[in-house]
Amino acid sequence: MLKHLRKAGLTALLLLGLAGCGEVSRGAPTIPPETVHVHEYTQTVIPPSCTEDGYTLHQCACGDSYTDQQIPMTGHSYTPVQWEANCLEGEGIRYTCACGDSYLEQTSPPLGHQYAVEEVVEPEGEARGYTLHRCVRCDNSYRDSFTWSPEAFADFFEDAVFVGDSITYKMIYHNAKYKSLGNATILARGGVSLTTLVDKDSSYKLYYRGKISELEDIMTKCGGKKLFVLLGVNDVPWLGVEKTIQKLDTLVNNVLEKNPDVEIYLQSCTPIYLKREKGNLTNARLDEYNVLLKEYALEKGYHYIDIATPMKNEENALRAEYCLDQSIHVNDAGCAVWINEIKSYLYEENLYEQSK
Amino acid sequence: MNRASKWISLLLAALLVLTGCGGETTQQTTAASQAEETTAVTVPSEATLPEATQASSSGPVMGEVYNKMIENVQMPEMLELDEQMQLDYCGIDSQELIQSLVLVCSDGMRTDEIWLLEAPDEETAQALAELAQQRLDVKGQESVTYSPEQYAVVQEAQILQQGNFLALIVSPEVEALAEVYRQEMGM
Repeated sequence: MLKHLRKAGLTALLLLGLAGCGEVSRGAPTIPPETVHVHEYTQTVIPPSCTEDGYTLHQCACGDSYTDQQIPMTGHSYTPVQWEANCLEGEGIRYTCACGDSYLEQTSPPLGHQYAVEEVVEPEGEARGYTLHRCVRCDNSYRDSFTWSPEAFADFFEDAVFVGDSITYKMIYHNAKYKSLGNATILARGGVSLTTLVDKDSSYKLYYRGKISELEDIMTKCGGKKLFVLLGVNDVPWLGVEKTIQKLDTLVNNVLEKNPDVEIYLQSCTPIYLKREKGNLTNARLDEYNVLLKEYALEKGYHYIDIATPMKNEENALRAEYCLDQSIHVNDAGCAVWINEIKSYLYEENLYEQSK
Repeated sequence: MNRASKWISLLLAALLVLTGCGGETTQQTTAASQAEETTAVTVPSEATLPEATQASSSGPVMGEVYNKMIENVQMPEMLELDEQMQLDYCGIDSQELIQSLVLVCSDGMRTDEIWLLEAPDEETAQALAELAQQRLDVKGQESVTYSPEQYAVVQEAQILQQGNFLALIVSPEVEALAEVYRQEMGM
């Protein structure tokens, strides 16, 4: 009996072992034949181009691919054609390949654009006017001579103060007539200069509401928040450009000390009539000052508006049509150009939108 | 007092009244300089009178007086200053006045300027006369530095004050303008 039990137990153990209870090491599993992938490539011949080699592409549906049997690139084959000059290219021979590549061997320079005025668009509301120029040959166009209506951005100037010398005098009357600067306060005094305004010993200051006053006090009194400065022509000839900038810096600092919220707009000195140039009062000297003025403005984070360039003729002098007196003063047309530049600056710097 | 003395006293009193005591006319005068060809600007007679003050004016309308003044005089283009500009550029608070008409030459180079004002009382008129003198001082300081010709015009300017009325006349035609003003104002 015991002998039978022992035999049965050994047999059971043997059978259990064979049935894989626990970890039993066996050989690799057999995979059914239908799950093994065999690549089947289709062939595509990619022809060579002018600039790239050709080849045979072998692709399997599973995504696997390879290339072989390279074919060298053909290179360009140019056909020469006689070429007429146009706005951007000169006359010559144009060599063109079937692939689209081409080059021109020029024998004469390009004609350049020939622009004619196609249209003058008047300003309307806050939309600026312009002159549209179009090339008569190639349809290329550009716009310039931007103009603004009197009402454009007028409310921007509600809290603006303009300060200047006799050149700014005309602006007082121009604005009274056209209201292009809205209700701006315009302070002007003939002969006033940066020197007289900042020099403690000078009594030649600004006249406002019946009193001789310092600029910084006027700013406080009228609540001005934007200060447009056009000064320097009465300083540069005898003081030089660097010292004039120093005087300007003092003036601005005096204003900001009492009125820290004021935004400073520095305007370039306007050009003078050619025959008025004398000694150190020259357009070249004023240009030097304007360069330094712009650098100063950028350094300090003030605004700089170039009102001079559009007033100049080819001799770098004040255009006759903008000049009041064949000297240094501008007329109504000059004031209009001046205001245009200010409004263009406000537009390009997005200052009007920011101020709303 | 006997009857004769009484009549003499009455006569003297009447004479005093007729010669306009209580009003002083002050002038600063010299000869006018050469006139230039310019365009006169006619101002509508009620141009600057607020409705409320027209009824309280005791004298001529300043706009009408101005039109008379320039009738036979060549004037440059003159710009009439609004209330704000009168205050900012001349120190004239027109809200405090019965009438105020202020014009300046609009070319920015000439010093021509005319004030025709009616104050509520003589004291204010005298203060305006001082303001006008100050204005002349400022214009003189400016023009002496950059335009001797205009400086001469400023030097010839006249300030005319009688009772509540005041005029400042800065013009090469100052004599002719002042003459008409005096006539219109019964001076």
